[in-house]
Order: sequence, then C-alpha cells, then structure tokens
Amino acid sequence: MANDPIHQFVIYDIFTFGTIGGDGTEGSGITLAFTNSSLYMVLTTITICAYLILSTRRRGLVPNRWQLTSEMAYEFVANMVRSSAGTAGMRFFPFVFSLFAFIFVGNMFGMIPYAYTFTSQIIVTFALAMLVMIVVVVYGFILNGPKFLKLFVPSGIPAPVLAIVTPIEVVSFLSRPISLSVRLFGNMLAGHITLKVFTGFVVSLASLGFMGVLGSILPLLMAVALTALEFLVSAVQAYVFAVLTSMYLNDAVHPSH
Amino acid sequence: MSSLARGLRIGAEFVAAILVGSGIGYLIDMFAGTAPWALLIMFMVGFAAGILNVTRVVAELNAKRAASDDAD
Repeated sequence: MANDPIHQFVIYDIFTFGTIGGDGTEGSGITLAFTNSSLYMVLTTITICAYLILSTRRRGLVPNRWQLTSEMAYEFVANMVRSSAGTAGMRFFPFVFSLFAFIFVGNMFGMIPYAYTFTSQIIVTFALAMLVMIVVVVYGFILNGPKFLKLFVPSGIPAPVLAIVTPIEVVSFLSRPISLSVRLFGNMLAGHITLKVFTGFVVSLASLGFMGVLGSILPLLMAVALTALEFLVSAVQAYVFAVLTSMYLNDAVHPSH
Repeated sequence: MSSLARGLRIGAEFVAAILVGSGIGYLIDMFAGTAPWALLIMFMVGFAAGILNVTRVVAELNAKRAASDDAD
C-alpha cells in the first residue's frame, strides 16, 4: 500500500556476499548482505569525504566559500569537544567529528524523498553508542589504569552508603548506551512516521472530491511545518549525540567527578 | 536545544536506567535461580539510577542556562 507509513523502513538486499554456516535452507546461517541501509551509509561516507577533500583542496589563507563552511564545521565540533572534555579531550576530536558528520549527513539524506534513513534503525544507533562506550572504557583504563573505576565510587562517602551508591552508579553508566541510541532512533523514527501519516492524509482526502481537496489543505500545511521541524530535529539530534559523546569521553579523561 | 529535545532527553535517560537495571536483575535471576528477588532489587536500583541520571541532566542544563544568561 502506497500510504503505509511504515513502508519507508523496509530493508531489502541489493546483493549478498554469501551465507556463513546454516544447512542450506532458507533463513538458516548468517547471510552477509548489502542492503539499502548499507547503500545509504556508503553514500553518506562518500559525501562527507568528498565534501571535506574538495573544500580543503585549495587551502587558501583567505578561505573561499566552501573552505569557510568546512572550517566552521571544524570550529563547531572543536569548541564542543573542548568545552565538554577539556584540552586533553581534543585527542578524541577526529572520533567525535566523524560521528557528528556521519549522523548529521545521514539524517539529512533521510530527509530526501524516497531516501532511506539509516538512523531510524535501532541497531545502527546502538552500534554507534556501543562504539562510544567501548572507546570510553578502553581509553579510560589506558589513560588512568585502575583509577578509572573511581568513576563508580564517588569520593567522600562513608562505606555503608557506598555499598548502595556503587551499584546505582554502575547501572547509571550502563544505561548510557541505551539512552544514547534510543534517543536518536526514537526521534528519527517518530518524525518520519508523523511526516508520512500527514502526507498520507493529503492524498486520501484529496481523492474524496471537492470538499476533500479543501480539507486536505490543513494536513498539507501541517506537513510543510513538520518537514521544517524534521530538519531541525535531524540537526539537533546529531548535535546532541556529539555533545553527549564528548561528555562521556570526559569521564575517560578525568574519571573523578 | 529545543524544549522537545530537552524533554525527550530527560525521558530517555530515566527509562533507559530502569530497563538496564531490570535487565541485569532478570539475567541474574535466570542464571542464579533466585527469581524474583534479583529482578525486584535491581529494578529499584535501576529506578534510583534513573533519578540520578535525570538530576545530572537537569543540573547540567541549568548550568548551561546560567552560563548563557550571563552571556546575555
């Protein structure tokens, strides 16, 4: 059905790399497939690389328009990392910038009609969030050694209270990848479904004759407003993901609060 | 940050902590056969962690707001 608001999230294989394991029947084993979601991830990466390479090709002391935009993107993310994780956190700048650019451009690709939004899949956002968490834990131990565990033990608290506070801190830490991934996924999924539902109203009302066409003006106006809102949400969510990433990286650099 | 993003952020922090706490409790129960005690206790711990998350987010948002008020 053309009006189905969920239809835009269907994943299909473009080509497969073959199946590992399984007994040859349909659905057994692990099939490595290049899906429409993968296609948009590759497109996103190519777009980012092409933009950054082309815009910094001239490297003029007086930047032209394109170089200015990429310098602004750099400054934006660099200020974000510096204010959240300090100067010591700037070693993670390439990581945060890559994440921000990937999510931002991916969300913007999703706003093109008929394009696929890969950030509306929870496994994609969860993989990104787990990547952040693994970097935090690994770098936390590399930079601080066992002192990294002080993150879970607030200083200046008597031992009996500590027995209660430490599990709470551990659960609070473990909940970060969930909240990080669910926020991005939920925003993109909900936004795209709402958009599709309102534009679906326009089509079905307009097929009801003259009064229907008049009535369809309202959802049409709503759809225009929602499109603008979705652009805002796409940008804000990429920003929020990057800000929270740099805040969590701050814990890896300075584990004691 | 828009108020919608702020609200969703606080909500996600709270729900995620409860889910993680309950999930850990459920796993402990499954492996240790202590159902339903670990689930009940870890649910409470998750709840507390959710409150902790929310207070942290709000404190951070307040600090940011105070900083931007100074700048105005």
